[in-house]
Amino acid sequence: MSSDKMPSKQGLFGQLKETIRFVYIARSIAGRANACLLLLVAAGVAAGCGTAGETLTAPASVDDSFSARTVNAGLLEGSPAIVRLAQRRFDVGGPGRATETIRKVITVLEPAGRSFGEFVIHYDETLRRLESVGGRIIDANGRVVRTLAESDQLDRKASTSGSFYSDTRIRIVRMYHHQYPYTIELQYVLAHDGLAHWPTWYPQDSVLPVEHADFRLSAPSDMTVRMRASEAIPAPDSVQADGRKIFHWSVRNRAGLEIETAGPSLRDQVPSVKTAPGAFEVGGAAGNMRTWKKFGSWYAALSEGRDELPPEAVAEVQRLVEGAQSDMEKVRRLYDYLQEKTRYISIQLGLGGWQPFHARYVHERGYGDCKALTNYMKALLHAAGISAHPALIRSGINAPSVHPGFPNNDFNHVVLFVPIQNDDIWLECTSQSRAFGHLGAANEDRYALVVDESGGRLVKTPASTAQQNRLMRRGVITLNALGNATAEITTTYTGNQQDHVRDMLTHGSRPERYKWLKETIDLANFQIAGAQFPDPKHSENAMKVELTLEIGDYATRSGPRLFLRPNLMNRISITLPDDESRDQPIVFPYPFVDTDTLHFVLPARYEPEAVPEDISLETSFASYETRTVVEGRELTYYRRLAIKDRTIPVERYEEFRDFARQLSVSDRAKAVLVRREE
Amino acid sequence: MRCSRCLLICFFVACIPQLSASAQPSWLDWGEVSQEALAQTAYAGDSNAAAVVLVDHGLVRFDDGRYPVYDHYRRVKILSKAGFEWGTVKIPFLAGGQEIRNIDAQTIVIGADGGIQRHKVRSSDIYEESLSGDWSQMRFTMPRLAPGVIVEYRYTLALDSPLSLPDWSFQLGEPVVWSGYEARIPNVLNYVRVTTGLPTFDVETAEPFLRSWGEGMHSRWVMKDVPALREEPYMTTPNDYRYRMQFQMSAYHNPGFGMEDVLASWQEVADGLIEAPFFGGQLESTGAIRQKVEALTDTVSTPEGIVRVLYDFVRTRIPWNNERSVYPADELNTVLREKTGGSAEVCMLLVAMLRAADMEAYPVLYSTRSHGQVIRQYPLLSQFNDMLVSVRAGDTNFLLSPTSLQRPHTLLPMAAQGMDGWIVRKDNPGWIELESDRRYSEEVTAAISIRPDASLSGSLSVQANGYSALVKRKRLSDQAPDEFIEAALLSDVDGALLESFDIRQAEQIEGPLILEAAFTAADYVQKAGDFLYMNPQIMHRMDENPLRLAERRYPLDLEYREDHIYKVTVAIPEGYVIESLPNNRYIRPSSGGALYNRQVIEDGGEVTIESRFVLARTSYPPSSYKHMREFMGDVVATEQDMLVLKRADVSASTGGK
Repeated sequence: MSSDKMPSKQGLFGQLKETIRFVYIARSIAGRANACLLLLVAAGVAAGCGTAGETLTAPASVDDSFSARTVNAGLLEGSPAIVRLAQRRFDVGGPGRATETIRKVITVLEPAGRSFGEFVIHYDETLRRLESVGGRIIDANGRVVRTLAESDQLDRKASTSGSFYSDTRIRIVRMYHHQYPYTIELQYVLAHDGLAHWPTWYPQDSVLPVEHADFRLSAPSDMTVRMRASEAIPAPDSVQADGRKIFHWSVRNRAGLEIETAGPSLRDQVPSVKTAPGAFEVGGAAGNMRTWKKFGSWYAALSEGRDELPPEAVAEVQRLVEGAQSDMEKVRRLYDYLQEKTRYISIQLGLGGWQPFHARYVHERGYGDCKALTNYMKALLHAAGISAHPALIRSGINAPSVHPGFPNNDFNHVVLFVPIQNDDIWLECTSQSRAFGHLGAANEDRYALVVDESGGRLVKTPASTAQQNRLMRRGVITLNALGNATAEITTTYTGNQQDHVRDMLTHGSRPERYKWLKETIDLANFQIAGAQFPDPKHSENAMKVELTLEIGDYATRSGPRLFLRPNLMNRISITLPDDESRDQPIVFPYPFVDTDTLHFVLPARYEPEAVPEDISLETSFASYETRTVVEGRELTYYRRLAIKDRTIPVERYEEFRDFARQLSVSDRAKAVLVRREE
Repeated sequence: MRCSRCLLICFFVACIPQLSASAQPSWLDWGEVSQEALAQTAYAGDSNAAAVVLVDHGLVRFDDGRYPVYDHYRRVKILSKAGFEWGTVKIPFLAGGQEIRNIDAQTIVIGADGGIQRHKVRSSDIYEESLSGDWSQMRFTMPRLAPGVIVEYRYTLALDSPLSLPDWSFQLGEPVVWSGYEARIPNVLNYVRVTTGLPTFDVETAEPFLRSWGEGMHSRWVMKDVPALREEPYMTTPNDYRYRMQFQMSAYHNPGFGMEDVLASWQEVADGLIEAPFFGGQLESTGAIRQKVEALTDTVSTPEGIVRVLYDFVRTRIPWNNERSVYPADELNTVLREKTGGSAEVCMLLVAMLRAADMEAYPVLYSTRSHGQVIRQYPLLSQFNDMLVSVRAGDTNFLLSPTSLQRPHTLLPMAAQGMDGWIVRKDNPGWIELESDRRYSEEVTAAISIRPDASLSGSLSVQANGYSALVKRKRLSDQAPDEFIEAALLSDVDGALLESFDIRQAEQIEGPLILEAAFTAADYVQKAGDFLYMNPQIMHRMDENPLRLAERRYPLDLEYREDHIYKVTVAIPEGYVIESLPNNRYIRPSSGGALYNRQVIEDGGEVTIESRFVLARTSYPPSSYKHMREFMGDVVATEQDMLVLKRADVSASTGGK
């Protein structure tokens, strides 16, 4: 009832987006599996590039060659803005100190490029202070028309949605001008005091073309400097001078990028240089990350002595595991206890971003962050005689992968690894809703650093298969002669597909649950007459939701006929134009299988005159099948869609397009019912 | 109709109702909770509740007779995990003046042994953080949260000024069993009290009392079983409806001089603004402004012509920087030079330019829809957050806001529609209702031809007027034209591929916007046996009832009055005949204010369907909600109707597979 009568649905390419988005949203993306900022990787990467100049405070004079007249036009290809220079300089002073200087020069050519004049700088009050920010705008003639002022900046606490308390802040800098083209320059300096992560440099960190990107790393000669560069990056110049070693990378003229819907993340598509120290120090805690083992030992030392439980807690554990037949059963009971008793609250201050709170602390308060909750669960298990190990992990769907050969602090989360007899159990300790032993899409199929007696070692978390991530729907739909229907629907979700349902049922209020249902059910005119929700606590590894729907005008009437779409509530509509090509693979959050089996009870005297054609599509990446069977007054529709592998390679794009088209048509197909006169 | 957000104003000392009943002083109950209350698992009054506020108690006292101190106590029963957010408490305050003291907080649970246990929040677990500007907050979270527990907390806020007292909301996001506000105010201070939402109090008393510093009045207001106020769609802002109370000092007794006004009158506020160098002083036109105006208006003769030229100049040449403001932060000469500014800057510049052209123009202050309606009884500028311009051109008064590149001078920003504006002028400053034409109208003409293979080719032509044109021009300014056309015109056509399009009058913002598109769609028309069928409503199809809630207690506040005319002609393919057509329909809610009408004409090989959908009002009272919801549901169902074709050369009884 607002603009355009109803919120407009996406058109065309938007539909692919919509579908993928649906998969992302409706299926689990584990909003509540809380990735705590174990480290500032995300923030560090967002900062971008650095400077080679010697200026460390306000920006140096803008080189007139950056006025819009000197843009490398060959590189533009219609881009509304272009990065002229992206410099990053990282000067290490010691294991725990560094100064980082970032300078960016961007020419904005037209209004569509205006938003590239907005920068977000992440910093905090302890480990990563913002020392200075300066900037200016020059017009097409190289004239300075504005110097960055207080009023162009906004400083506030970083979003606290995932974190209860932390000292992280953001500075938002906006640099706009009204006369195009213009060039903006921004420079800022960060002082690191506590360094557990060195930068990963991306010469290109947005879709814009880049004329020149530059990265300079310097460190005292006696410090170990480690690096790992993509093949596309030329080797650095390196020099030794004044007791320091300096590495200098430079990349010129990179064309702009196009982000294709449902493709891999930008960072997976651009080259990078990862850098890492040997020795490092955070908040007085010194460590070394030359090997995984050493890095693990550092984390282990931080947690040492923090897993003692008060006697009454130990007694409670004993009580809980009493009579358990196996270790598996004990772990399960204690995980239930953890989920019942605790909730996720993150408090990140200085070394607190690294060091877990005492198990006692969690026991008394009933809350903690990922480190604290994992440590607490470890302590509970220990009291039951079961040993478990925290496992550092890079959480997130499409998160950059950890390279086994390059030990580095690439992690942002911690889970618990419990090896018992013949089973490896992985526990996500921040979630009150996750199924026992289920890590979820954001943590599966990747290396985790298991911190054990040996120090640390990489272990790969299990990957889920399509067969595990299921949606199974059965329904009986009774249709009357007016076209109205009553549907009794049972939907069972397993694997990653259940995560979102569990979250909703654990944390959602009643209005939120119904709102979720209404958003999930794609029908024009319906009421939820009844809903049976399972109790997440007492459901093993599946969620079964039972619904009764009253659907108005489900079948379209036309004289003696009714047109009935047998695919009640699992339709996909994707249209991909024939003349569009694609350069990137299609990435789903995880593989899955959906099956819908629906029995329609037809109104008296009606019988099918035509039913949708049975279809069976089989490709290397997916399969799709529908069958419609008529028996007496019953019409049974069966649909099965399997996405076998989460990545569909780009060479298969045309095949996918064809698959998607046939799938979309079939999902909308209708049966014709006709009334027989007596 | 507007009564549910009416205000009740009381000159505090003047109206003292004499009701007797005792308001329980909840302070005495700290930590005292019954087993029954802890065992309770649901709240009978509201099955949607995730938590219930059992007691909410505020007390303002003047211990020293000069500065107010505010005690707040709240006890909440947590019913489910969805209610855990009530276990995290944030207490904002103004750093540097106000102070938070004596925070106590605890969770009360039934322990493993069946006894009642209390777990306190430790002082080391209470954090103070600075937000932005002068605001800070105390923040803590309750230990051992679980469904069923009761949490309670209390604190004292010391204020450094008696000018305004803390607001009190009787109504919260979850139901409140008992909510009481008390004020012990010295008689030497007079306050204006404003009550929103027209609450009915269960207790309302006032008793005189005596202290060392003099006499005072102890007032109490209590509401019991207050329903939750949950935000509903189509609401300006929940605060406009909430049961709440605000206090602002109006006068105080100055010994030897009698009562002295603290709150100025609106006239005095206006005088002050007009004299202030940063406001009225800015409007004395400078040479630069005068020169600019002369150059711009040189060839323009009519007053409306001048208004348009100057409005267009500011709108396009001094683009708004997306900041709303009430006072200009820069001098107007600077604004003219910098060529950008916040709403106060661009509006003041426009006023100055209009005055330089000898027009009668004034700044108008108002509060945006999401900021909430202002209280006219408080002559306080802090209630406003945005500015407009009022100008008289001949016999016509225009309200202008040069804050959008696409908005013509005849339309107001949506944020201002329906709000109260306060016009700043020497003679007769005062209130005007901000209301301009809120029409959102569209005329769509479509032509479709179906081919025997069930594919379709079609054309669409849309004429958008009023806000429809504004909204679309805005979108067009930050979207690629083809993507815009696909999203605006073809989103309801499954599988549509855009062949060609045309966008006309995108720049002439005062007239209609014309959009045209030719497209094909391979799969939109569906085949089943010998039948082809399609939904002839290919644009603006309403696929679900936007009024999802079964009941509503608040008016339906819409942004626009809507009028959609849709006409489609469908050419039937050779070899097919019409099996059935959508019916003629005429739908109206019995409470009026809306209409849907559809006429279907068959002529040879063509079917023409004309429909019109009208929402004639922007506000519908709660009493008509049920009718409106039914009406929208009927429209949704009607728009699903299919056009069905049958192959001409087969008899209907064959088919199947």
